[in-house]
Amino acid sequence: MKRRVLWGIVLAVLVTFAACARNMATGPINDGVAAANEEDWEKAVQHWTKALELTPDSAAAHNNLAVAYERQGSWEQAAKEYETALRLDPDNAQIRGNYESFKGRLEAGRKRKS
Amino acid sequence: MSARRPVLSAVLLAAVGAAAACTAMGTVDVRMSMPGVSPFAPGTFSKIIIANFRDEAASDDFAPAPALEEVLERTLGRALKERGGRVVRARVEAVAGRDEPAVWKAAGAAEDPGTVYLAGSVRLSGEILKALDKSLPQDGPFDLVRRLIAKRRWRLDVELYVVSAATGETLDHQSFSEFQDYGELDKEAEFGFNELSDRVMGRISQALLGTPTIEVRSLLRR
Repeated sequence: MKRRVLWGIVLAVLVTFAACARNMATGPINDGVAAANEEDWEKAVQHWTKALELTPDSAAAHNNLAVAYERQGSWEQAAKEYETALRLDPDNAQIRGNYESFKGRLEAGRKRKS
Repeated sequence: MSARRPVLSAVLLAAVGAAAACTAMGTVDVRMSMPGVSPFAPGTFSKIIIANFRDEAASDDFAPAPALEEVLERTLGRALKERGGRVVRARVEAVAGRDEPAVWKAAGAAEDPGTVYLAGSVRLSGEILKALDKSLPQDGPFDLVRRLIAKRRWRLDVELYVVSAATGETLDHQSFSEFQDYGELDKEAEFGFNELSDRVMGRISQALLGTPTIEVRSLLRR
């Protein structure tokens, strides 16, 4: 019986690891969100860049970087990051919402002169 | 059955733990001030050169042109800093709105793409406005003794040209005017300029770089 319990625990650890190892970038992503909440966007960008080094296909890291670039007024970089995030996670309503707001604001601003 | 229970419990616990670890991350909505969106082509204003403004009505006690150049450099420099742009002042042997694009192009030959010149003219004019004081009663004996009231008006007019350093073409030309009336007739020109240039700069900054707005965006935790 003890052996079974032991196997159960081993299995549990493996399941937990497998579930979260899928996204190794979670730590730096959360650190970045915490930095952004404290208005330290420079640090947030560093964390999210690190997250992408660990997991290049993290839609969350690309989305968050896009928001940071948008806040800096780096429109081209923001567009590139939003588009990458959407390509990686096309059904994500938050990323799509961010991107639509970004595009709408950009179009409205650029139309002012014409 | 009872022998399996601990194993099942452990697996269930692990599954719940794993699910919690991976789904409790969600989104965080953040409110933030976004910089304005410039109506000019992307890349414009990577560098702004404040060129010599003409003084259309220089007085002995105050020169508004260098003062305006200083305010432009300070205000736009602050706005461009976050975007990685910069603002400098330089003397250019060309007159905005008069000289051919070739003259400006030659002046900006060594500049990077996206560099623009801001040039133009400035006029700070003051006048005393007089009118009958209508606050006194118009009937009766007081009507005969209605007094003249006077105000000092300072007016700031700025003609602004945005000239591409790469092509020498004028990208934009706008006029900005503001005035303010003061009860003190001896209100100094510099005081009037400081107050009016603040307002004009707000409008120039919006016209060139757009209006900052408060936006909400979602940050993702995974």
